[in-house]
Formats: sequence, structure tokens, C-alpha cells
Amino acid sequence: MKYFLNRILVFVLIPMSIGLLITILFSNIIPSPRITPSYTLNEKLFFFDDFDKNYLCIGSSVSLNNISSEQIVSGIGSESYINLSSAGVTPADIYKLLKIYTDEFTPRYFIFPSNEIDFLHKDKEFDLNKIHRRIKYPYVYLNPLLYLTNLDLEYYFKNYPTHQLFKKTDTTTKSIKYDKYGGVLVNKGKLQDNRLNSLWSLQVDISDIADSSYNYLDSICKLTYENDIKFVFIQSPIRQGLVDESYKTKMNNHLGKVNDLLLKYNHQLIDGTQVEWPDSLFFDYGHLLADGARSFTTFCINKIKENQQLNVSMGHTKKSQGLPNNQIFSERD
Amino acid sequence: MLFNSIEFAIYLPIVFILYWFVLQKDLKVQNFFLVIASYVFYGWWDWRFLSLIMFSSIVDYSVGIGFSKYEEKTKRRLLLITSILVNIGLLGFFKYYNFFAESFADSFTFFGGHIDPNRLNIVLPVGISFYTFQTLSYSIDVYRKKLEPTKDIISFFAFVSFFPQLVAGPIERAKNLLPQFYVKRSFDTHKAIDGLRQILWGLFKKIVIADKAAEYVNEIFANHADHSGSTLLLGVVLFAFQIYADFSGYSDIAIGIARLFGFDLMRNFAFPYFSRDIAEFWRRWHISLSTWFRDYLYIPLGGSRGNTWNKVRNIFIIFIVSGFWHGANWTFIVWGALNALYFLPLFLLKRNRNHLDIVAQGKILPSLRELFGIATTFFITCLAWVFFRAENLGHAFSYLDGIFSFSLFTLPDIFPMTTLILLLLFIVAEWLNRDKQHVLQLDDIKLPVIVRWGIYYSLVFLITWYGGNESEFIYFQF
Repeated sequence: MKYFLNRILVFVLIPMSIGLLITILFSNIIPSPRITPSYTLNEKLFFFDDFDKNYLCIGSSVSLNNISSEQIVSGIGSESYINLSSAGVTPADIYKLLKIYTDEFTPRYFIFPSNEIDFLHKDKEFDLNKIHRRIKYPYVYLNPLLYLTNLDLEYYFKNYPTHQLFKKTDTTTKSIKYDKYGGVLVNKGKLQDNRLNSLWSLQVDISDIADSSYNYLDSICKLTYENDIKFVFIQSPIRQGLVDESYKTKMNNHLGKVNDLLLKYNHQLIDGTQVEWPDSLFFDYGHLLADGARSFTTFCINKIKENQQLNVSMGHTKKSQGLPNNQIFSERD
Repeated sequence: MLFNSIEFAIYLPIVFILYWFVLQKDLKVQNFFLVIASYVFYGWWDWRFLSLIMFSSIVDYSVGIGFSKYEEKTKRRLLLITSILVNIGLLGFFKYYNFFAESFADSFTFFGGHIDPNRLNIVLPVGISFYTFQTLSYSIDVYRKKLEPTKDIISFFAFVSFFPQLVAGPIERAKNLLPQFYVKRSFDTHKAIDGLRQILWGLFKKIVIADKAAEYVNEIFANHADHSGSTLLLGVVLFAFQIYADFSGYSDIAIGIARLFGFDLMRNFAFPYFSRDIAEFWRRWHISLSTWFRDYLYIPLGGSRGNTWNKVRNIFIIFIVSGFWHGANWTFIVWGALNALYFLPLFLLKRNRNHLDIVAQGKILPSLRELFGIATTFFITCLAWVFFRAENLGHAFSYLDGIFSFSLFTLPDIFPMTTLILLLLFIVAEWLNRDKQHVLQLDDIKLPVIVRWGIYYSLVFLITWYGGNESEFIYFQF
């Protein structure tokens, strides 16, 4: 038995010590523990040490890049804002993430900045229990241990280059680093060049969006309504050079369905495609550069303000509506 | 608890240390501890279903006690019927109720009538098909007086719930496993080290081969209409390896863990894809289930005795029931029937026991004749796997229709190079060690420690490289 245990101990301790040493020495350059298959979501989960906020934003990469945290925070007059968006999520994923979030916390506002492609992506395979555990107990000092419980070397190697881009390029001109609320404003830099080559002219056919995607949006509407959360759906624009009659027709059709769902629960739709957004504000077909994101966020804030004033004047003061005019959003009591 | 989960990586050393260091002095206490540890292991999924295992154990233990008291045939038969009704009843209710309700309603629709199937929202308890068969084997063996009924309730409960093989086998016979609980176990270093090697190989099979293949299999089967015939063929070949690596990987881990605790479980897989005909395949695939059906169904039905009609009938019954055991779906029944059709010509021509030895024993490569046999057997097995994997019969026929199209002769539109290279290495490793119990049985090969550990660390590296998901084992659903 002694011989057996000694051998096992040596066998296990060698790779564990090497692994632990690498984790401790290089923790700042290794991607966050792989709790989900999504790099951006993992970074988010390990970036925050407090998830309980009044203003929540969840969406895909357009939510990361097209919404300026600065503008939002100055609009709400509060730091209680979190952007939990991650690349490639679908309405189904967002519903599941929102469900976990609302099981634990009670946000006042929920913003879903969307791009039509979100409705066409494949759902992610999230381990919802793990995510739930993490947002409930965000103990960042446990991160080294979490590498051990989430062993997936392929993931760490594959995402290493992206991670360097996010972590290291933090000068003002090249930054794609997360701001402290979880947004990512993109200036001219490496990412832009890559995207320009591959995604500048991307056009997708949105006529084949599955009903299930709309059903999940309906579930999001219902969930927010039942939890007394004001829900704002933001349709993000694409660059002007790609807009034609066919796009407008399909987009109107898509947004018609979206709006019908939102109206059922008295939620708000902000349609960013109604305004022309010059190509110079974008770094690919639909992701905005920092200046574009700031303009677009201001546009959204104004729309929300208009809607609130309209609600007040019409006497719609139920739940979270009917807010003071000097504040775009209201703080929780 | 999954074998490939972090929870289990913590659970196993704790149970191991308590078992050998704290509780070794008293056999009864040690067995009782195994019952508790097994219930924790099982209850990790859903503690409510522990009541089913307890109920099944109590019934069969009581039936055994009854057998020891009564000698009259009628009473003994009544006791046996009770055990069968309870175990098959549990299985029937949880696994097959909705299938029968729907099939009954469908048959009305076929004749022009209409009734609503009274579906129930039932969750299938993990491992129910395995432990009910295990307890049944006890009752039948005691009834047949091939085994003494046990009066040791703790040993019996430990036998039914023994955690390494509780949820996906091997389906142990009471004759083999139960007596091992009666005797004091002593730690055998050689056995434990070999057990660890088998666990390592099982994890490699599951995480590196099965889960990697599953990524492509899921995509190809889900969108089969979008893929060429050659891709569909590749999809089913990958599925053949996925299900083999997944299930035999589980068995390897189960057998390895049992060896750590001083137990010997029966072999469940013996390199089935190197079989030269379908009869040999069925002697090497899911051995614990095939032999269960042979001993408790086929032989009581008359086996290979009687006229040709009876023999053919018995073959079809055993294969169809075996298919149905896997799940309440017509696809499994067709899968079983198809295997019966493959097997029948060999059986009728009395060639079903032609290959009892190990293929190409003592040689590096098989002969052309053997290679042809292996390839043909693998191909027809793959065709049957289409039914096993498909959602329904329509899906299976459409998939087969897609394979046998002109696009079969084009290059596959999905070509998973890494997976295929890993698969090739896996097949070579299995081929070179086909005369052993498992691939890492390296005792009789003299290798320097550095090479030996190099092999182990390479496997550990691959397991951690691909170990992102804790995916369930396929056979948990059966």
C-alpha cells in the first residue's frame, strides 16, 4: 500500500506542480478558467467580483462593442451597471443567462442590444449551474483552483492569442480591453484590420429566422415583465453601404415580429436602423468603432428618455415606468 | 456523479482512503460503508431514485430469504414471479410506459379511430436497466438453486448498489460478485496499479475518442440532408467508434475502480471491431448483457434445441428483446431485428462458432481473409448503428438513403483530420494489445519506467487537452 500511494503521489504531484507553477507565474496571460465554451463569457465571469447591479445588459458582440458604458453610466447617474454580453449568443442563450441572473438578483433595467445575426446563431452549450455558482460566489482569489477543475488545455491554447489582444493592447489608440463595466470599445488597431478583411461586407439572409428564436424573445419579455424589470430591445444598425431595399424589407419584417412581442408586455423597441450610420463609424459590417458606439448609445438613451416622457404624459406609471425627467433611468430604492 | 467529473475526482480518493485505512478491520462495516458510498454516488443525480434501488434490493433480498424457507415448487415459483413482476414492473413503468401508450394510440389511428395517448411526464432513473437485471439474476439463480440465498443483508445491498458498475454495468451475476462481499479483501498493489491503468485507458476512450467523435456525429446526424453520402458514411463510422469508446470506456473505468477496492468484475468488451463475423462480434460486444439474455431468456426458451422454426424464433426474440432493452423506440427494435438477420445465416449453417480464438494470434497483421471478414462485419454493424443512433425510423431510412447515393463517391464535406488521426492511433493500440484484457495491461512487456510513465503522461495530456466538457456516457440513458 505504501509503495502504491507513493507512486500515485509522485505521478500526480509532478504535473500538478508544473500546472500550478504555470498558472501562478502566467495567470495574467492565460485566458480565464474555462467555465463555458465562450471565451468572452469566461472573461466576464472572472472579471467581476460583484454581479448584483441595477442595470443589466446582455447580448452578443454588438452589445460588447456598440454600447458605450461611459454614456450609459453618465445617463443613469450611477455605477450600478454591468454588461454581461459575450460573442455569438442567441436569444435562447440570453434567456437562460437572464433567468440565472434574475434567480439571484433583481435588476431594474435589462437592455438587449441585438443584431439580426443573433437570431441565426447556434445556441451555446452553457453549463448553467457553473455560471450560476460563479455569479453567486464571485471569489476571484479562487481562480487558480478553477483551472484545475476546468482542465481543457486545447481551450487555453486556442484562446491564448485572442487573450493577448484583449489584455495587452491597452493604449488609447489600440485598446480593445474591457472597461470596468464589461464593455469593449474598439479603436483603430489590430482587431480592426482583421475584421476589415473578413467581415466588412458580410450580409446574411434573415428571412429564415426560426420561430424558436422569437419564442425565446417572448420568454425574455415575459420573464422581465414578471420580475418587474423594464426591458429595452435595441436593434443595432449595419453600415450604410450595405443597406438596400431588400435589407429594409426583411428588417421591417423581423422588427415587426419583435415589436409585436415587446408590445404584449409594454416593453420598448429602439430601432437603430431607422437612422443612417456612415461606414466610417464601423470596423466591420455591424460593429461600431468607439466614436460610433458613443453616438449610437447617446441615440439610444435619447429614445429611452422620449419613451419615458411619453409614458409619464400618458399616465403609464405601472412598475418601473414613469420616471423623473431629470434621470434617464431610475435608481432602485 | 460522472466518472469524468471533478466531483468524482474528489469522491474517489476519499472513499478509497476511508475504505482501506479506516474501515478495513471489520468486513461488515466496510461493506456497509460501500453501501453508503454507493448511495451517495447515485444520489448525486437525484436522491429520490434511491428509494427505487432500496425497494428493488429489499424485494429481492426477501425473495431470497423466502427461497431458503420454502421447498415447494408452487411457492418458489410464486416468489420468482414476484421478483420478476417487481423488477420488470419498475423497468416497464419508468422506461416503457409512454412507448406503449403511444403505440397503442397509434394503432387506433391506423384503423381509423382516435384516442389520445395518456402520456406521463416520467424521468428515467439512471441505471435502472442495469440494476434491475442484476437483482433479477440473483433471484433466478437462487430459484434454480445455482446460488445459495444470502442472509447477509448488507452484502446484498452492497452487491446491488456497488457504485463502480451501478449505472452502466457490467451487469454482474450474483454468482460472481456477491461472494466477493463475504470475504475479507486485502490490498493487492499489482491489482490496484493495473486497475488505475485501466481507468486511465477508459478515460482516454471516453474523453478523447468518444467525445471528439461525438462533435461530428451530432452535426452529421442532425443535418443529414445537407451532407453527401460519403460524409454520412463517415458519420456512422465515427458513431461506431463513439459508442464503442464511450461504453467500453465506462466499463474499463468501472472494472478499474472495482479493482482498486479489491473486486473483480466481469469483462464487458473484448475488442469487438476485430471480429471476423457477426457471431464473434456478439461474443465480444456488451458481454454482460448478451450472456444475461443467453442464460435467462434464450436457454429457457429452448435455445438451439428443437426444430428450425423454434431456433429461428428464439434468435429473433433474444435480439429484438436486446434491442428493446436499450430504449423505448422502434429504432432499437429494428436494430435488434437487423442483427438477428445478420446472425441467422451463420447460425443455420452452424458457422456461428467458427471464430472462438483471437484474430491473427501471434501475428502482427491479419490475413486477407481475416481482413475481409473484419471489414465486412464492421460495415454491416455500421449499417445497423444507423438505426441505433437515429431519432426515429424515418430519420434512419432517410440517412441510409443519403449514404447510398451518387455522392457516396465524392470526398466528404467534413473531414475531421485530428479525430481521424487519434482514431487511427486508438485502433493500432487496440490491435497490438488485442490478446490482453485492456490496452494498458503492460505487465508482461518490459519497458523502462521513463517510457511507461511517458505513455501514461501522454494519455493524461490528451485527456486534459480535450477534457473541457463533462459529457454523460451514452449508456446512462439506457
